[in-house]
Amino acid sequence: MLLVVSAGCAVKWTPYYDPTLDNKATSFQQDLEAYLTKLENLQAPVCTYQQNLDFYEKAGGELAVMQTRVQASPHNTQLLEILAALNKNFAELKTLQQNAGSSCLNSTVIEVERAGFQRIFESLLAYELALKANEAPATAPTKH
Amino acid sequence: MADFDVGAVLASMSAAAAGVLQKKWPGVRSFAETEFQKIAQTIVTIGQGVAAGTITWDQAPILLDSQKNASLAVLAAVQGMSDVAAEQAVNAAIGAVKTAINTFVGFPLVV
Repeated sequence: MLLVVSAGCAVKWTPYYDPTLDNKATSFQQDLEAYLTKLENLQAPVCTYQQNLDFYEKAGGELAVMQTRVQASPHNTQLLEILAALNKNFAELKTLQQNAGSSCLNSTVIEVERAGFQRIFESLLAYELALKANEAPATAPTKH
Repeated sequence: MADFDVGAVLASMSAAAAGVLQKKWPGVRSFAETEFQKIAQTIVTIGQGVAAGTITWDQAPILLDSQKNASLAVLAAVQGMSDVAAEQAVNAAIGAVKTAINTFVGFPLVV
């Protein structure tokens, strides 16, 4: 009864669905996938980290924007954990490429990295879909 | 190369998640087990890559850590989705007694 009196309406302890975050996550996934596919088809030296700094700068910026949106969201614990995993895997891709020096990452390494990223994107998008489905339906416009 | 029992690993991951989520586990089990299965398969790929020489000893721990991160993301999503289900259940319960409460207090307390 106290809960009802204090709230007056539905309880809310999960984040609101954020369509911008959803779109940015999809955009980041597309950029990353395009980059990994490109890497699979490149030869040294164009496959090296030094030759692809522009990707890391752009993708790092996209990640920072997503991080800011999630940090501003209420009840964001799980979203922060998912983004932390995404940030770590991005940093590890960077490390792998830096460690490869003047060589290319082979297709096996790229495929394993891709698989890890896919699990994270699937998790983020599944959670976002659950949040979207949890939103109250918009009120239909009334005629005056 | 030693055998890697994907089924046993999957069962361990599912049991760990089920233990944490308890009653909320059935609602998210399908998603979680599908994702855990993919992660276990990728760990097999890492082992096979090391054995075949396509993954170096330096790369293997990084790649394994990437799968660990992916597992944490899956668990976070599973926890989040179960919270959504719990929230819906509480709101449904409040909604079910809305009329009774509003009639009792004489004004629309629950909207």
